[in-house]
Amino acid sequence: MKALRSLSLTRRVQIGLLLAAIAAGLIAPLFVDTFILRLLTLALVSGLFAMSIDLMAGYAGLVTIGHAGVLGTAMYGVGYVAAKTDGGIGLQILVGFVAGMAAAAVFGLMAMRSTGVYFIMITIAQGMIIWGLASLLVNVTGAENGLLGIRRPILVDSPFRYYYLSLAVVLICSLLLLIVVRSPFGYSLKGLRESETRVRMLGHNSAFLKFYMFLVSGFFATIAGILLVYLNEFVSPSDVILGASAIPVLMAILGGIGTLVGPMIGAFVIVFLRNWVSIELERWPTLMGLIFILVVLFARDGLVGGISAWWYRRIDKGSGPSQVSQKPGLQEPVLAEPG
Amino acid sequence: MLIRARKWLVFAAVLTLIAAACGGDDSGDTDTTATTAGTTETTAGTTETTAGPNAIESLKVGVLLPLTGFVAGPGEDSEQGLQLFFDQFGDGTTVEAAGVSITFVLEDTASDPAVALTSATKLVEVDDVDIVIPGILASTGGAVGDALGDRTDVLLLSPYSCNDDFTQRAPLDGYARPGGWACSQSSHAFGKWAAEEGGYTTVATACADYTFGYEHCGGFADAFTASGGTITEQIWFPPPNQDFGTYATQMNGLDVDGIMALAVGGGAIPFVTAYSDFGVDQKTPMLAGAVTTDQSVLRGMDPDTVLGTISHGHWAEGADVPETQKFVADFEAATGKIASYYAAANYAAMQWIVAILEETGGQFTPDLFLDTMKGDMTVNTPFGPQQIDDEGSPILNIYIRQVEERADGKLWNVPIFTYEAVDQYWPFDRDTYLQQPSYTKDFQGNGVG
Repeated sequence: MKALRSLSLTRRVQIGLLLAAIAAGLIAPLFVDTFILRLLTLALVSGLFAMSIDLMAGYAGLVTIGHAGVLGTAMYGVGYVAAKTDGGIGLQILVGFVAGMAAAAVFGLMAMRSTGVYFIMITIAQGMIIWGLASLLVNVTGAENGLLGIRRPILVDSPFRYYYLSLAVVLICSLLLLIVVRSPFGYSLKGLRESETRVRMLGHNSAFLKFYMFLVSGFFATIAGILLVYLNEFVSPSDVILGASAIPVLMAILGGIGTLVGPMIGAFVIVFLRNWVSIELERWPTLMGLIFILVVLFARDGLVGGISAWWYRRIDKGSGPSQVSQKPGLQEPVLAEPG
Repeated sequence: MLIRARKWLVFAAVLTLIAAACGGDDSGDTDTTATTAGTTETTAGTTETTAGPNAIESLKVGVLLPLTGFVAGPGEDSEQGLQLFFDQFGDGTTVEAAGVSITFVLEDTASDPAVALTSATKLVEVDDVDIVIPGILASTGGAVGDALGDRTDVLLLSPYSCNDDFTQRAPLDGYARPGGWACSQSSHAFGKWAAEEGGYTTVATACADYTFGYEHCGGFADAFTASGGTITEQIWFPPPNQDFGTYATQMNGLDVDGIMALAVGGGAIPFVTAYSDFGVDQKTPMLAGAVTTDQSVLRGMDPDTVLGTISHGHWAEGADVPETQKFVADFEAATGKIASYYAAANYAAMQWIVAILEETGGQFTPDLFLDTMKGDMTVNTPFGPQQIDDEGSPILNIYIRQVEERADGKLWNVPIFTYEAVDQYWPFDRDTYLQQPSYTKDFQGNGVG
């Protein structure tokens, strides 16, 4: 109890919010219909994917707009075994996992010696390569028609159970990501963001660092891909187009890059905007674009950053920026904004 | 201070834009819910219900259409054709037939199978529809068919996506194509016509690289070679492709009597333009696929590039068939556009639904509906008279068409030859045809490759 009492107000609120969110996630299925449940599952999986991108974009400062290549390769791995061979669930997941990690490794090898704008360009090309392969290798991928006949494991076939499975996997992965960003490896990634030359001067091999970063991020993207392909029971080139890589980056920015929870929040906002608001509003992409403009103008650190700034300004004036999530190097800390 | 004022100005401008975006658009109501348990209802002049064991009071049709994405153009026509039916026979949202209130719910597929799946889930789980129309593209039709095909509580009626095997080698339960077609149905007739009537001996194909392309062009190739022609080469391009420079160069290098071409949706106009701009039409006439010169894209084409082009299809807006001309006139009065196949197909599907309900006296179960449809029924749709065969596929007219200029200068397709009562296998024998594999990129007919 002493330890708890010694926590600051901010820390207590953070833990409280997290527990509330998990509790809400646990009881949500009892209150919503299967369509909303499907959207919640989709949001969780998209959030996991966005978090994997955030590890690279937010923590290491290396933005990737081709990560759907990893996600998609994992999906096609599962899909190919499921649709074109007699392989069972175990083989499907194994092949999907190996395929996704292989793609991540290849991407890492391709990009590990670049930074900045060149890095972004290489990742775009990576995503395009996967899209090209998916569209052309009709005997492997079914091309535009995709792969049909993928079925979830019977144990988690219902929307109810699949939601809980996704929730459990995402929570475990979030915990793992938390461990990663607080590990020495995580700190050296943040160092990459601040200054790659300095990191090298300190004795790290920055290229290898980036390669491992691709592998770690690719691990979570692969898991997201496996969850997604069983959710949709379908995979097609539309899962690896540029938008499939770019939208999750926008999810991370909207929620707050460089925070762990930001991408998940951003994912929920965008998934519900796309699939739920779009029922009433045909011009929902316009609304999405306008929300981004507002975020960029008024809350550059995303929703999480914006709310944190408000919190520190109004409520917990004592704690300083040390509690606030790290922001990418090019932006000024929110509290020091002129005006 | 100035910075802050500017920020607020931008904020206000952005809010105004949001308000404009949220103001909806001109296609009016796109989402309606059922008026359940008909108490009053002024019926639009149909018979009373016989209170049979399966009598229902309302029927909800879930319509998936690409309202955005690369086939949004055809999608708009489809929506308007659907709306025209509900305006003509009902009050715009509900049509009464045999005591049943028929309504529809519209959802966007964004020309994307993954989005179509989510929308289909919503229609079935939330809106509780009885019938689903699974979009326009073969890829969305395939994905939705795979997801919903096992369900016994929802019927899949497809006036657009035409995946051959859903009524042939891999028939789906609870699936039929009233107002629709099988992807290779019209091109079978086209292939036969090209060899026998058209005088073509060697043809190359240039088609979109996906299931619709394989089946549509495969049907042509198969029938053409079976009637004595030769397919010398097959070019494939990605369906959303809009830059045809390299393909035009390839086509210019061919030495054939004709090129059977299929470009879809947003790719059709660029393809036809490139075919003309690069001079391919000077050398080799185009034999266009059904949707490549369909009215939905024809109306946007430059007459110099497309006048006189021969194509085929189960729809010809210039056909001298009373139902066709009436529909064309009505659609033009409502929208100012000449009707395309996309507009006619939804309309025809709804005509079928109403006709079947009247035939069963307002009774509905999925099995009863399908059995009645496949029975001895003929519906006079805008396409012409239609029947449905035992496997759920339509028997209808196939028109060999030519692009001509109407009296008012607009372009339209006029039949130069008509095959009547064509089914999904003609001119092949059903049992022999089913022995061969489905059309894929690797198999385009026994006489090819």
